[in-house]
Amino acid sequence: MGRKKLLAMLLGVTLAAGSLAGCGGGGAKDTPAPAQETKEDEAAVQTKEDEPEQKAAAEKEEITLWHYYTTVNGENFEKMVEAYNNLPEGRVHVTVELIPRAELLKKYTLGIATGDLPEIAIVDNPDAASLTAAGMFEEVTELLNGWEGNSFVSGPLESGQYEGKQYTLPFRSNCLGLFVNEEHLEAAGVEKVPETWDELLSACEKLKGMGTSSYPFAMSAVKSEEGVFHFMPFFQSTGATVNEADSEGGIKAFEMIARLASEGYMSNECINWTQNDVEKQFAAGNASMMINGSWQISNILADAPELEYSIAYIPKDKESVSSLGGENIGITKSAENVEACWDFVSWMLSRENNVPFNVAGAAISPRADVTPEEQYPEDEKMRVFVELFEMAKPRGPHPKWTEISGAYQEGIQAVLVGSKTPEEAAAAVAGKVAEINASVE
Amino acid sequence: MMKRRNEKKMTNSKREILIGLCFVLPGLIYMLVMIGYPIAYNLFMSFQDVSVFNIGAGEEKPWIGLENYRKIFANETMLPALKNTFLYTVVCLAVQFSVGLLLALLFHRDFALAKPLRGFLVVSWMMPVTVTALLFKYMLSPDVGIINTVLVKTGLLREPVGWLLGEKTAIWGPIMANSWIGIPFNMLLLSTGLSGIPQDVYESAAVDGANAWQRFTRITLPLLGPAIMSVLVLGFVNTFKVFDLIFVMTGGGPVNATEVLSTFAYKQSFQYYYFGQGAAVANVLMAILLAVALLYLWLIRKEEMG
Repeated sequence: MGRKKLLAMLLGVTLAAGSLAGCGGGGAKDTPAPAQETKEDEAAVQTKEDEPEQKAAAEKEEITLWHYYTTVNGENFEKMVEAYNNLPEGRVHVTVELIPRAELLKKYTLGIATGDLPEIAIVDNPDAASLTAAGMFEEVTELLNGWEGNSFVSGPLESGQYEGKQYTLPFRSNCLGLFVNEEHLEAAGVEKVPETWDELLSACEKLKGMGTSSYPFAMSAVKSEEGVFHFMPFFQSTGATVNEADSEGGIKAFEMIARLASEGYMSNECINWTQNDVEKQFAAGNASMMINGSWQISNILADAPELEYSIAYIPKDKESVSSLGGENIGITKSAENVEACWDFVSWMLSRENNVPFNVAGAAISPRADVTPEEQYPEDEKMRVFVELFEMAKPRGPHPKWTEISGAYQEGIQAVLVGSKTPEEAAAAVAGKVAEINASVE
Repeated sequence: MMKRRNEKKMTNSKREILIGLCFVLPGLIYMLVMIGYPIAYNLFMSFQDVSVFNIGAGEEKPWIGLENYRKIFANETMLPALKNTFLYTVVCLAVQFSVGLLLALLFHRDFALAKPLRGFLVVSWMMPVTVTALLFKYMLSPDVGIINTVLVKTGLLREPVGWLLGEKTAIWGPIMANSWIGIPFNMLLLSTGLSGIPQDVYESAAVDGANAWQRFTRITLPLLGPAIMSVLVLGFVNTFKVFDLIFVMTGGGPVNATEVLSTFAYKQSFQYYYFGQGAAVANVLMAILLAVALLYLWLIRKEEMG
């Protein structure tokens, strides 16, 4: 009887624990997962190698690369890597693995903990500093300085630095701009595209006066990095820096977005809208203006090919700024031969390879030796983005950027739902950021 | 003679134990490796200081005792998360169970189309949670959502409510969605329980003059007891560890209004890289589930003995 009881107890306990372990919500409970995923990945790699393969690959060092590019970018990226693999003088043979965006950061983090990393990694640029701080990347300062192709725009380049040294390099860049439905503006009697906050507010008022079901303005304020990305152009336009949310400018920025929401200029639902949701609203004509990134041009073309719109600078308080997005490429600590890997990385970053890849995906090459006209000779919209790119500020770099971003996410949402005044929200954010900075010491 | 017989008996039972072990061991070893190890590792990690600066494989992870637990309870997200998790679980369970029981009783009566209808209801249980989450997100929209339109048109609401947009109302969005998901699960398990109750008990009760309500409270409910118990416990465990539904519908927002223990643990670990603290939150979650599981075992034992 006693033993039976014990057995039943044990079974019950493990059952409860087992169902919990399946939830994936916890920390290290996920550790067995990568092993399984790797197996799947290997299967994927196998099919890839069935494709026409060059003989030289056998002598080259085999390395792996993880990325999250899909659709057009994904195809172009893989073609690009294949072109390198086919070079007789290439020093490595690169196998590409596509990992869903939502999974990639988690896989890198687990990879750092377990040592299971690819040799080359593509990372979202605000994440670069924290992954570098975690010891994921090899330093490439000297290799970069010794490379004749070393010419990058400073903002993106800084996003790959940590403690004054270069670890990752900008590979693909984009930034935010103002998308304007000119037909709506014209109908509402707005004569020129708003350039300042005041002009934005009065344009919104006129658009709202139209009495249509559409909102004058849209941006993403979702509780993730995307919301912070869209807020930063307002915030940084006041001259405020991330460490001083409660400065005069910082408070003003919180006031501005609170006003856009409370006056009914933008839908309250923006707190649940991702950047793609915002694009859908704009494409459907439900928003007359939106903040969004250059890559949305291709999405709008797919969703609403007839839509007439233009790209403008984001309305400013003090100075015109934009927010920098895009990915960095880096060589990880798993690389046995860093110089051989650099051969591949520098090839990917060279002007003749990097610019066409960026242009094909409505992005901007982070290289400094190419002008807007050279990148986009005929595309008016993209040329504005190239100009915006030059005023784009990186988020961070900061080893605890995700945490800072979390503080801002809460602040943004608090003023939008009205649970905090702009002053209170700004003070709360500043307090948290100060704490985070203190913990880095 | 006596002694030899005893010996023989001994070897017999030894062999039985051995055979028994052969049956139990594979499962036990699997559980220890695949479930026991991660749990132990997680427990271990919750006492260590693991952050972005030392998550690397070979790096030192200092032992800091209960510091992670102190920190998570000092975190302003922890209390809302605990409150939300319990509110969510209790309301979902109440709705799922009561509606599930009503439906089970309804479908227990044999009427035309009972079986296909019952099968049809299970669709909501089989739909991937992320799909349900997205559907509800759109249905709850104040501008275009059908739920608000219906409520306003029928006069139940004066104007549309931004369910997911207010700190007070947001948690009710996932609650609605999950109740809808869970009803068929409850219905199915309770139906099975109902069909296990012998019909002649009802017949003799009817002969003795018991009315429908008496038959329900005196026969159905008591005999359904074990089924009810397991539905509630399974439901609790399933509901308490909600993650995907919340993550897709609100991401924990607005502000912290829909943050639950599992999303909080996930963010601490994979967004902020505080693995120790993430592990601590996960352990709190597990401790609560363990308590519920033990309560269940205790109740079952009491019943068996009683």
